Amino acid sequence: MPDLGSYAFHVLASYGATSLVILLVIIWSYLKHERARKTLLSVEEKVNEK
Amino acid sequence: MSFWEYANPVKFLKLSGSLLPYVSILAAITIIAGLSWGFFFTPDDYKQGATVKILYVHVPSAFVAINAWFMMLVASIIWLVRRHHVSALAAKAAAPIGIAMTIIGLVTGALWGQPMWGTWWEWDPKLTSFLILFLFYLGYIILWAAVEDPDTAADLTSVLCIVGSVFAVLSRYATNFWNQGLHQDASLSIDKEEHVADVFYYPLIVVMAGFVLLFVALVLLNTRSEIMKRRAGAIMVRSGI
Repeated sequence: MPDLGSYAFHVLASYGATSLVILLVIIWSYLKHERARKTLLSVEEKVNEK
Repeated sequence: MSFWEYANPVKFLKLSGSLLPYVSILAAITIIAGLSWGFFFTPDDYKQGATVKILYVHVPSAFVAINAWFMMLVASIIWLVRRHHVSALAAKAAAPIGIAMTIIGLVTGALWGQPMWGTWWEWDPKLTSFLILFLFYLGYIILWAAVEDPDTAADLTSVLCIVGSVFAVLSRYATNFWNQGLHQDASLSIDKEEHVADVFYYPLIVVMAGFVLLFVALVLLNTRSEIMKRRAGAIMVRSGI
C-alpha cells in the first residue's frame, strides 16, 4: 500500500466512490437485462402455446 | 456486408450476444491492470503529492461522460435521418452509463479539488459546463420516461441530445475557450508537450481503454434489454396477451 499521507481520505474516497458507482451500474444493467430476457421468453412461450 | 444490416434488431442481438463476454472480460482486465499500475506503481507528483492518483479515475470517467454524449448524438442523428430503431435504443441505453460517469467525474473532481484548490466546487467554465452536461443527461433520461409513444420520445430526446452537445464540447474545450478558472488544461493532448508526464500517461491510457470497453459492454447489454423489452411489448400487442 503506497503512503498517501494527509491525502489518504481524498484518494481512497475517489477510488471507493468510483468502484461503488461502477458496481451499481453493472448490477442494474445486468438485472434489467435478465428481466427483459425472462419477459420476452415468457411472452414467446405464451404465444407458442396459443 | 453493410454496417446498416446491424440496424436489424435480430442481427444486433446475435452479434452483441457473441461480442459481450469478450468485451466485458477485456474491460475488467484492463481496468484492474491500469488502476493497479497507477495506484501502486507510480510516484507522487512533485506538486500535487499523492492526490495525482485521483487522475486515474477522474480523467477516464470524465472522458467517457463527454464522449458518451457524442455517441448518443451520432445515434440520435441516425435515428432522425434513417429511422433505425436500434440507433434510438442505443442512445437511450448509453444515457444511464453516461450519467454514472458524470457523477464519478463530479465527485472525484471535488475530492481532488478540495486539497489542491482549497474548495470542493468552483463556478469555473469547465466545471460549470460539466455540471450542465449532467443536468442534460438527467433531462434526457426523464424525457424518455415521460413520453409514452416511443417514436415521439426518440424524436424529442434526439433534439435534446443535439442541443446538449454544445455543453459536451464546452466540457472538453472550456479551458481552451476561456483562459480563466481553476481547472487545469487537458491531461491528454495530441501535442506531446501538453499532456502529463509519461510515468502517469501510460497507466492512464490503460485505464481509459478499460473505461471505454466497459462503456461499450454496458451499452451493448442495455441496448439488448431495450430491444427485448420492445419486442415483448410488440408480441403482446399483436397476439392480444
